[in-house]
Amino acid sequence: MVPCHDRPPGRHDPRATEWSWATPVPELRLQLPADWLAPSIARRRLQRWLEVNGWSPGQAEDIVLVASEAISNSIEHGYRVPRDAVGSAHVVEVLAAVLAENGYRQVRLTVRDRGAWRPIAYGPSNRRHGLELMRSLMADVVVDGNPDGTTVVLTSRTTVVPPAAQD
Amino acid sequence: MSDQDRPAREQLMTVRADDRAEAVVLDVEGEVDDYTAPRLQAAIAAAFDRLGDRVLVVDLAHVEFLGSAGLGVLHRCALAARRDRGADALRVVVDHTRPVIRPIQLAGLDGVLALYYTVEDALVG
Repeated sequence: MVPCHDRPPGRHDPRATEWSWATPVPELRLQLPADWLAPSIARRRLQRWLEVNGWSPGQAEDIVLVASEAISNSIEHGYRVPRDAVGSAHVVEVLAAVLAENGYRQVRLTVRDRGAWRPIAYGPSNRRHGLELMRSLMADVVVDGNPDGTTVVLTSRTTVVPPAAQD
Repeated sequence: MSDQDRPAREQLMTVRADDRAEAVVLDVEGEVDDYTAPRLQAAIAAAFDRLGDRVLVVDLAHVEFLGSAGLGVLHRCALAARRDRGADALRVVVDHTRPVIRPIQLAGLDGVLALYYTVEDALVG
């Protein structure tokens, strides 16, 4: 793992000329108690991480939306958590990483639960809308369900690294 | 995880009802997700109960997040309103708010919901 810098290069950062976006962006890792506040907590954390790393508001919105949907799937279908539960012994793990190459980049989101898997495509209409949103907003959606839990890997569309953030 | 990362349900979304002569206007503010959507559904149901001949305007212009749970509420309420009161009874104001209009379009609900840019437009119908 490359050492994490405490903040990314920005226009006012004196170190901005010393390193580029080729430098791996620190990943975002969240371990969320699987209750119904988890999606909103993840939205805030992910939004901040995307902003700090220079994603446009529109791109960030799409990524935050699909992350929220995937986490909701885990809570509802993986763990079947009641709406009013506060806290949970279960955990939803979220990992966000930037894949960057030749001036292009994507975000890869991994959302993992350890619950009993059910096919989300056949769930209630909320979840069907959620899956539609994920599929239409992401370049790639992989749902891997097995008896030990479900892992959803969402890869955002490729975007050009903003010129201001390049060398 | 710090406490400020665990918002109360009331902080995430508020619904304010404005009872007017010709309409009930629900001003929804904040984030509509699985946690808060049941309150939106309850507010719409309560408004329908006292609506009479008026129309119901759901103003989403101040909504910052609309997930599938919110889409589901809007979809179900629009279908129920159309069945019980005709196509014109439930009107939704979306402004140009991207976090709201984009999920509505992606889910294909722009063909189901009666959408308006402003509350004034919605009141005119």
